[in-house]
Amino acid sequence: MIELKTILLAEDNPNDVELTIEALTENNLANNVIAVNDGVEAMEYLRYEGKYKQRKKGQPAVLLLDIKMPRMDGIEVLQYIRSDDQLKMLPVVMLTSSREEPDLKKCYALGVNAYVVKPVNFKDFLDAVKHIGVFWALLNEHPIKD
Amino acid sequence: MKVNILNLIDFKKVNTLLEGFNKSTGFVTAILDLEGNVLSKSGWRQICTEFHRINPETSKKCTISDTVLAGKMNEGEQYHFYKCLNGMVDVAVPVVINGEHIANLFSGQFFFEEPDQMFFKKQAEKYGFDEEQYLGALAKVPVIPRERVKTAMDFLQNMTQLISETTFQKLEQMELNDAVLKSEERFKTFMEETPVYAYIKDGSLNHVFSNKKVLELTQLKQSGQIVDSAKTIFDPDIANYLERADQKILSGHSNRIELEYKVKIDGQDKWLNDIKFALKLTDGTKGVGGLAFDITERKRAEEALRASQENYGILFREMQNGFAHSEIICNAQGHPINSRYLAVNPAFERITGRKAEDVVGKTILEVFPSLEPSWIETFGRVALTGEPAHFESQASELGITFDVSAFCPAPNQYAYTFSDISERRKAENEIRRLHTELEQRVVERTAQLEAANKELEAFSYSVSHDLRAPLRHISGYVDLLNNRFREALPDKAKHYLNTIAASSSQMGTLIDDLLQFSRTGRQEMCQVAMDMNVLVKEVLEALKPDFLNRNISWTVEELPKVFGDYSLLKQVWINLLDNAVKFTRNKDEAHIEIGFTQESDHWVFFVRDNGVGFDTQYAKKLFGVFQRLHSQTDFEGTGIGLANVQRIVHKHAGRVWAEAQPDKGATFYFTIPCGPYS
Repeated sequence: MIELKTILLAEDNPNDVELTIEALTENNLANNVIAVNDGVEAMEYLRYEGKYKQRKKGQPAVLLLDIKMPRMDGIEVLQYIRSDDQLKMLPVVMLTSSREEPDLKKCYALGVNAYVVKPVNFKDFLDAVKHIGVFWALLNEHPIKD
Repeated sequence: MKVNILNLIDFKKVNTLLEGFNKSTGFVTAILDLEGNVLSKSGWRQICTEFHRINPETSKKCTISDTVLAGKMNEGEQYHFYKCLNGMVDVAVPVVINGEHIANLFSGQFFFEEPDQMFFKKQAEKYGFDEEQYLGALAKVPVIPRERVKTAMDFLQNMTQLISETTFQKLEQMELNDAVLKSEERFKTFMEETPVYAYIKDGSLNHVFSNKKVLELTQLKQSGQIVDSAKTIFDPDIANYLERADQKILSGHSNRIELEYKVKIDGQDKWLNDIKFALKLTDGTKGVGGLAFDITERKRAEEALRASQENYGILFREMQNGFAHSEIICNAQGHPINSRYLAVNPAFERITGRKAEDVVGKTILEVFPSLEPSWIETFGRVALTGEPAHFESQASELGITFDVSAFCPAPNQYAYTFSDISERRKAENEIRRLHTELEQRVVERTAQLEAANKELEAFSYSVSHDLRAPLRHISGYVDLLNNRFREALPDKAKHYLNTIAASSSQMGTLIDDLLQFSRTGRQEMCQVAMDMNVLVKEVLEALKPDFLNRNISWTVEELPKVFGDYSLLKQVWINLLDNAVKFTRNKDEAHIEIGFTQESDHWVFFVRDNGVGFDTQYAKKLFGVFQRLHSQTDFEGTGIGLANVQRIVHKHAGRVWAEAQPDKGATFYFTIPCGPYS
């Protein structure tokens, strides 16, 4: 059996967290989902800081990153990751409500791996999350090993 | 004048004299010109008249003797003896008049001693003379002693001199007469031709001379004719005026009178300057001479000058600008340090508040003690260099700002006009202040607008992000509920869930459209040359899924190239074509036409359908946000599409409108400037 890799989900809205996990669950991809509430927590997780000091070594297969979050937003997180030698190869997928062009451009300029606008329609959302999960958590190979 | 002097001699009288001399003395005489022509003679001998001067050969000898031999006068001789070629003794006295030898007076045809009979016999034989008659004539030739001949010759010589002197006097008289005649001719011509009116009047004031100029005034054009009197020429008033002056001269009241008067000549006013003077006429009586000059031009110039001076006087008094004329005062080094007023006008008094009598003759520093030095420096430069100057300056003593134009009318002087521009200055400052204020306000307003725009962006960003999230959640949870617990729900609950789902979906579309509309307003235009055909094709391709099961006949015209924003114009076509498809869906056979026309410098594109149409009276409402003409049940929609179309077309400097009839279809038009693709 293919081992499921960890998916890190940075999302402040609990509804979105729940719906995303539901979507992943529908597709049996939810085993290893870590949800954090904002950018700061996401960075703590990735850098083994704060409450994640003691966590098990290993980086997620993909970071699903919302843009609008308290304290540190998704674009800032992306910026830190891409300028951090340890993290810059981490696949990052923006999963956001914003269709705004400036956000899209900014993210691509910072080297995002994918940019997905959350569809309003839940069926479409399910499809989108399924594709993301399958691709990044199962199919994609990447050089970061723990 | 070349005169033949011989003509001046009265040979008749001379003949009488010589004949008398011959009768009383027996001496023969003759006067011959230098060519040998006999001009006068008396008592010639038979031997000459009947023999020597008859035979051609001896006659020739006579002529040679009369000219060549007679001309050989020795130095100092007053008369000259010689033997003629025919054997006689002759005497020649030259006739000299005014230094010119013109003729000879002869005597002769005698012998000093008894003649040689043999010589004459031979002569008779040689020339064929009858010897007896010839010798008889010879015998009649007298033998005269030398003393007697000398006495006679002295007399003849004196007579010749007398003839010479008399003739010379005659010649002189003739030449004198000629000179007088010429001189008179010259003066007459001069008087006739002079461009001045010249005339002479006698004691009765009748003209005795009128030159051509005077005659031109009358009908008498011929030189030499005479004008009767002034009355013939001028109006009675002028004629009387002139005759009064003439009378003054005739009466000896004055010898010379100069008049200036205006007359009408050929219908034109002429000014004459007439100088009259007393004149003694040829008959010794007193007359009046006169010369009148046409001074019309001078008078006109004087009049013009006077009028001009008058005008300048008025200008000086009435002009609103102050005027002053001054002379500069320099120190020993030649630097201007002060000036003195020569004249100021009333406006000067009004503007400066200084009376002319308190100013003229005073120095500028006496009048304005605390005047800024720059004034005198500038005026000094104008007065000393002659360069005019125009400047604005303040006289703080008067609290006035002046606009000054200064020039140099004469060396070391300056004159200037000036006006009080304090008010203008104030107004200009006020304008400048308002301008600055306005600029400041524009900056502030721009900043406000920019801020508002930022806020709007933030707002729409927030809408985009935050409003969609709850919608997504509603939709998500409704779906989850449907998926997992649908079986447990009563039908009513299922209906409610369906409604919630449809409403949230509708709201999602609404939000997306509104955001699109808002973006269109804020978006920077990126205009490029583009082919409308490609664009329309692309849009139709994208809409295809919406009309897969429809029976639509399309008419798509070949469209022109335009200059515009690709993505925005695409929105226009999407909206219009989507509408056309949507509102024809109740037709069994839908027809949609895409075409264009040209209207001056705009392309007019249109989309025509045979759909449900609408009532034209609401046509204008169509393009407002949230404005719909059909119910949501009949035709779904947000009411934002056409508002967006209008916004985009306006951004392209175009117009948009629609024509329709209920159930007959609708036509939507929009224009785009042809630009470089006309």
